Amino acid sequence: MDSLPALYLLPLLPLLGFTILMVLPRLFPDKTGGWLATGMVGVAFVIAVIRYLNQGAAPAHEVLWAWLPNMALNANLSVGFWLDQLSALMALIITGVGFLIHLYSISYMGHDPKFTRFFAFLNFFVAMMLILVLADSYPLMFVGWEGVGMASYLLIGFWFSGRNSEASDAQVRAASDAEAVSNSNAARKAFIMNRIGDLGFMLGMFLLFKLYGTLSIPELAERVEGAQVAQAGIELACLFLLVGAVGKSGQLPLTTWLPDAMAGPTPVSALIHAATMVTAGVYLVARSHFLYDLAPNASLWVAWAGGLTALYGALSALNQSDIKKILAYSTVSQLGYMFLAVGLHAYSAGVFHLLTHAFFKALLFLAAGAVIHALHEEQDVRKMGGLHKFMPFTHLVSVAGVLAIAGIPVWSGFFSKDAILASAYEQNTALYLIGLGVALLTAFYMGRWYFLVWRGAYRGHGHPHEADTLTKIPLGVLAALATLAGFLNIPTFLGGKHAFDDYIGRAVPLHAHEIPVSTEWLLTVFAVLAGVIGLGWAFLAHRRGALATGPLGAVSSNALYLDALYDGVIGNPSRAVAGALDTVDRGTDDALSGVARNASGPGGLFTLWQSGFVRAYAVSMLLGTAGIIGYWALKTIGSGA
Amino acid sequence: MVPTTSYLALSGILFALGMIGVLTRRTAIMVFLSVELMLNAANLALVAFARSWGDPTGQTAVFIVMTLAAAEVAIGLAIIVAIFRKRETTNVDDLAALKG
Repeated sequence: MDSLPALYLLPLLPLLGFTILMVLPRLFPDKTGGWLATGMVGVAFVIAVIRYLNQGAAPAHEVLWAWLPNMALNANLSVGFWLDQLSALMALIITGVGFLIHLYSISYMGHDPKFTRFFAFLNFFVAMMLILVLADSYPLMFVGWEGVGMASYLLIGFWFSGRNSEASDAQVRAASDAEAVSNSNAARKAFIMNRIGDLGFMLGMFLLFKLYGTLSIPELAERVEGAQVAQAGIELACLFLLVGAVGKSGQLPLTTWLPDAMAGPTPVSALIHAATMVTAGVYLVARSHFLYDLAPNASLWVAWAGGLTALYGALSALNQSDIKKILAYSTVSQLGYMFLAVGLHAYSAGVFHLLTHAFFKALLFLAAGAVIHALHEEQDVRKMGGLHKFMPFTHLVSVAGVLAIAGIPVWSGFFSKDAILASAYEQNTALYLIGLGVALLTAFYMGRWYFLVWRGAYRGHGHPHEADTLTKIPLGVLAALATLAGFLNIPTFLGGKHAFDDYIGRAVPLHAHEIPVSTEWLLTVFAVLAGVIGLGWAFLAHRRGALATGPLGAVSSNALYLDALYDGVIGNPSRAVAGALDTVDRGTDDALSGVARNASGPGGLFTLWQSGFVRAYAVSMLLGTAGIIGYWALKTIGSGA
Repeated sequence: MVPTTSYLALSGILFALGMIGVLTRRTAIMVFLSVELMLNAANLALVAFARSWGDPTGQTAVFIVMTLAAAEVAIGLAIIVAIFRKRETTNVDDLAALKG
């Protein structure tokens, strides 16, 4: 076992890449910086695979150094990494999908003037994400948690000065400046929304420490059982952690930052805002399963947050016209599925959907990126159409992605969504019905996305071109994974062995299905029907040519007015208060300036005295001295001394 | 023995001469000389009182004043020379840049 590469190498390598590229960017001309970053993540992926293949029955715990020694109650906190089935899977997703997206970015970002810095940030993100999933304690996880938030901020606002700020055409430059403002605002929005969640995470940690006296995850898992702790305390701690998870994963009510995060470059949307970072909330709940198992009410909150978000995301995606916004709301919706699952303690189903979603959503985003590039930065689906003729390969992989997310057998989304719906059916009918409805909506909006982009007649003006080879490799690999990953977890009633459940079940508890096989068949038929009806609905609307405007009209394209609501409830009052304070501030300032201005008039009189003539000063001195002496002299004479 | 009042009278005359010099002369050197005259008038008064009261404190004070005056002359002349190099004049009425 000693010959295995150490766990700390996983985050260390990308961190090294980040440091080198930030400190010495000039050493890497052209695209070499991108290759270095990609190589770092590639080596990390190899290490993750080696560790995965040599995984023992017991989790590996590698302590590096004492971090906060001698904390109260002898709870020494160390920096250490913890590899069990759950974190191994996450590490594989992060490094594997991360590697592919790095590769894709070399081509996608090839003409960007900040190419090397982009890769430095990407490497930083991968390093922080690996710290997050491999951490053996909540504080260390929080370090990664904040780190990925930082990386997300940096990358959403990557084009903070617009993409054409140097353009010679004034109109292009003005558009670029407007874009710069909205990009920076999107980055700040993501950061601020995440801060709210982070506060919840911190409060959760404080409460856990108060309750159990430790924040080390393995120790906590041991102490939780049999500890005499008030039930309300556990529930509250779980709710606090939920606030953190909700913030990071863009769930209701902190969801509005995620669609705006699409201001970042497309590979960033694929890696951070679809495949990995936004699933950190799901990971947090699954990692804390020993707490949520004891907190039925908080778990129900998790499930409902997920269910409602799934519905919210699906409804908002119906009438978007930006190729990336559709996928963004879809991500919100799919993350809702995952929350739904982990909230119902179906951790394996939730994590399985996390895995398949990482593949098919990264695939869809990268395909969208290829389309955007081919159409020279055009993102409006109403100006696309008929692209299958121009980009046959990208079209083919997109079909795989759409079928996977729509839950059509045998694509991966079918298996993972089915597992979630089965768990929901078992435990909560209302949530099951929401889940089923969302499945139908998902199939429809993804069908709409597909038909608007790829089918019909081309409605744009440019000349689309097929993606280059470097773009095709990640697309092909992800398409294969999105198609085949479902076979990792074939359920028993379909003749499978639940291989994935068995694997992940060594890290998180499994809740055995207790529904009869006939019901399971029925549920599967319903789920598939939802997918087929949704796609069919989109197809019929496409034939009628009525797809450009989706259902629900402005309600959907404004994302159910949630942003407007927040702006009205929080934004406007804050602005009003700020405006009032500004008025007070300016008033005070003006008053003081007025005093100063008015004082300078009388002050001017005194300046006459300061004539600058030495002899005049001498006269004043003389007269003053004479006056004082005269006064004393008279006084002395007057007193008769 | 010369009475103390004579010394004081001489001191007063010297002081008045110095003062008139300060007020009427325009050359910095002359103003400076006049200031020195006033200082020494004060010194004379101090030693006169010291003698009349048989107390050496006044004489001690005079020594201090003389030492300080020596230092002050060095600095004052240096300033006047520096001003002359810069402005080519020592007329105090022309040196009115610090007007309020």
